[in-house]
Amino acid sequence: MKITVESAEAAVPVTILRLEGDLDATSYEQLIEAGKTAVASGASRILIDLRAVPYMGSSGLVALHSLALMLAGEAPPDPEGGWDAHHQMARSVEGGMQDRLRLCAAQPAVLRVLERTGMTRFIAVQDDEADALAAFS
Amino acid sequence: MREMSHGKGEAIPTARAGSGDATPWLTLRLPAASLDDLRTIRDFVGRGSRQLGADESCVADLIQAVDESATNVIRHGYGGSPGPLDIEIGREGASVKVELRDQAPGFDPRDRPEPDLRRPLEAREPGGFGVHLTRVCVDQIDHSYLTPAGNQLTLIRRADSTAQEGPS
Repeated sequence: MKITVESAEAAVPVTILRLEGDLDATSYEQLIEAGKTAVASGASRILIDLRAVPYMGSSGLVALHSLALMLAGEAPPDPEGGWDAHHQMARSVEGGMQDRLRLCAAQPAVLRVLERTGMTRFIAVQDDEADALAAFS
Repeated sequence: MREMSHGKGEAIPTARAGSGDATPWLTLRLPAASLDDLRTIRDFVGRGSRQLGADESCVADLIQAVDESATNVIRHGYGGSPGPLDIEIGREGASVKVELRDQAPGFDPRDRPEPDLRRPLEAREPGGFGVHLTRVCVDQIDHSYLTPAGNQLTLIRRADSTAQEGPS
């Protein structure tokens, strides 16, 4: 999977991660690393552009959750932590929608994964990148 | 008589003895499947299900279900080490059927409880969300233990997504 990093100015500075390729068990750690690098470089808001992601598996959910936690200043779960990682995700989601990580332009199959797992109650997904950027506060 | 593909990413039509169905099954045999084969597996399921007349919603659901199931076999069944995995796809009436056969320790995903989606990211087992996604993507899941070792996981999904869901 290819990941391109860009900066955008909205109401606050936003780091955009543009993904290209499948987000599955072989590539999700790459997204986590990109998130770590962005946060270490000072990113406080991340928008993930999913328009070029034709497939996302459940491993992708682990990566997205990890990024949300990093942006909230929390330690992300060990990606290989199995059910510990999932329990940690549950505790995060109980807190409701977070606003530091957003997604845009998800393809139908990817959006279906996000909806079927309830992730859309935790991370907002918008069709349009401009709308997503405008939504950051 | 059955012919198998022993290569990677090669789908060979096979005839199932006694099936009474002239539609050929497609087989992908991976003697040492690893996570690096997931793309090959998804492509195989995509091509095969389209060839068998599945609509795009069915194709997407089968790709998801098989990817999640194969990931669990490789990651948890084989502990991340390469292991044999056979995948066959064919038509069964109005449905597309996919069979995954491995030689990993016995694991029946139907035994795993559903994650509570009011707490949507909770899973009690590693791969929990993979099992959940598999369940919501297909109409029926069957499992059997193989002798002397291994599992056969059967996933059945109606080829026409507008048709009424079959028995589960």
